[in-house]
Amino acid sequence: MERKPVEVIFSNRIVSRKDVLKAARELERIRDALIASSVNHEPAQPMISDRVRSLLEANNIRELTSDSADKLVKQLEYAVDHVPMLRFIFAAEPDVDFQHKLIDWMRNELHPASLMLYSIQPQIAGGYILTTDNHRYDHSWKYLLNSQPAKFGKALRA
Amino acid sequence: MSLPAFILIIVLAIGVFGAFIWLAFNLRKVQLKVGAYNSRIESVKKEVDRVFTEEFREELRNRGRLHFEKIINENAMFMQQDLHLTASQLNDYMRESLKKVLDEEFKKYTETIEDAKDMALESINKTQVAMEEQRTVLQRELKEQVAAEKRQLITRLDQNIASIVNHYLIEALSEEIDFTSQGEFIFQHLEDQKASILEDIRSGA
Repeated sequence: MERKPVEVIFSNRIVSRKDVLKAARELERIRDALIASSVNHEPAQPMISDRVRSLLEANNIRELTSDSADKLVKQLEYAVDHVPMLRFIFAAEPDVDFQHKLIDWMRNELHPASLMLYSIQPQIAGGYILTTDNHRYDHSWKYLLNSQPAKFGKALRA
Repeated sequence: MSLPAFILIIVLAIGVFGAFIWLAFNLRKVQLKVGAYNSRIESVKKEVDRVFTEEFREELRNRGRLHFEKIINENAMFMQQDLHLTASQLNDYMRESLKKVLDEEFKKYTETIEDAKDMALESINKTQVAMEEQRTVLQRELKEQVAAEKRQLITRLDQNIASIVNHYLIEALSEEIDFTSQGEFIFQHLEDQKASILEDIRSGA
């Protein structure tokens, strides 16, 4: 069976699986609020976060309705299990700008809907360790230093 | 019995009889002489008793006693003088002997002390020389050991310098991570590995 393509477009504020799920939960809440307002005939003024607002803009949704919200939720829930996931390990918590820059690079160079998952391991000192389904790319400073001890020692003694 | 034998026996008997008669005659003469001698002794005794009366005997005894006392006193004086002289000589002799013995003993003692002193000095000198030699050896060994240990430490440091500095850097850098400064490093490596990552994504899709 042919797999359905991912239709949703992630903004750079949607970085990780957790962001996707948070956006989905928020959209569900907005959808419920919109449904409730239509039932009660009251104007709905749901609070929309920057994350969801950027997601709506990325997907060209000018006016959010309960249907569009529900559709987007389903797309997000489908996408979260079908988009490429790159698992990074950093030495420290990456700042937001770096995350945005990294996710932009991933979506421009690798896959437009890719997500990343990261964890923190201070002992790698710096750089990153990237794990995909098939490979582990270790570009941590710890690995680089330990991989060439003789060269490093020679440089230190020079 | 023959006649000659009978005559011989008669002659012999006459001879024996004559000998007995001669012997008896002579014994009588001797007895008379002994009696005269005894009477003469008795007379001499009586004469002596008459001359040496009890007073004369007492006088003689007193004079003898005095003479004896005088001789004894003189001899005692001489003996005392001799004794004093002997004691003096003995003292001198003892003094000289003791002095001589003491001098000899002191001389021996001094010689022994000198010998002991020389031996002690020699022993001390030998000990000092031995200690100096030992100190030199120990100093040299200690220097060699320190140098060897230093070389070993330097060798170990050379061997482990990378891991030591790595460990330090890792500990130090992990506290001060700046993603602005290492962003170029990260993206450069991601660019280098982009083809491989894309292949992984496609194969996993």
